[in-house]
Amino acid sequence: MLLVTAVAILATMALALARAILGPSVYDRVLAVNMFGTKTVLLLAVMAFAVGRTDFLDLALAYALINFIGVLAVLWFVKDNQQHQQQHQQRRRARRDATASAAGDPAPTGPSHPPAVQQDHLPAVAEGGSSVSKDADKS
Amino acid sequence: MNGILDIVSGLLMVSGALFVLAGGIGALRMPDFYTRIHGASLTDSLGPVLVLGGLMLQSGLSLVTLKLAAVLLFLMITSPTASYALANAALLSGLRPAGYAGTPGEQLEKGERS
Repeated sequence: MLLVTAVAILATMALALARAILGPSVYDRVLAVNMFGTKTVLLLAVMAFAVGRTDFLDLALAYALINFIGVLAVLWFVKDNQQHQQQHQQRRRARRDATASAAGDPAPTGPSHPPAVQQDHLPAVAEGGSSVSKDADKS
Repeated sequence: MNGILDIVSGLLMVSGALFVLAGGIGALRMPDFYTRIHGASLTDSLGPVLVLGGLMLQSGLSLVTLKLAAVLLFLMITSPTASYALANAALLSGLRPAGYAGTPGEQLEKGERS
């Protein structure tokens, strides 16, 4: 019975590993790693009884603690990273608009916007105003 | 008496292993992140209870049972918390369930609200 349980838990760990490799988003991977850690705790407890060394239960307890903290740390890291990237993009867009309106260049349009017609004949002030209104429309 | 205890313990462990395996298959085969976390987190709560309960029945009344109870208590506290934090972070980062048109605010922003 112990060995059957251990084999089932190992198969589940393999499935979780496959999801961690396949996962399209980072959250799928974190979910798979969380599952893997929980199953590791279970496998340690079962193997402690199968081998007859119940000292392994201390390892299982420590692993459960570290797994939880690790998942929360990875989530914090992902969230901070996303916020930094958003701030960076906003700052870059603002700087681009400022230089575009100052130099009179047509503001580079995003892929979702069609290029403006008659770019060359418009005055610089109108270009700056149109780019600002475009960004306000986009955001 | 001992034989009955062994049988009950083995039954608990094998059913717990089946639950754990179902969770693994669900986490691999479900079509969406939120359905995946549904399958994984629900079986993460019931599988360890059954497996560690079966081990507790085998170990009798000793320090080992206390350690198993500590592991079980910790798993019961942290596993739903981690699942909640994961789903919350995914939702806040803009990941939406498959086939979901978005919150009313997002529909207004996209101009698709009739």
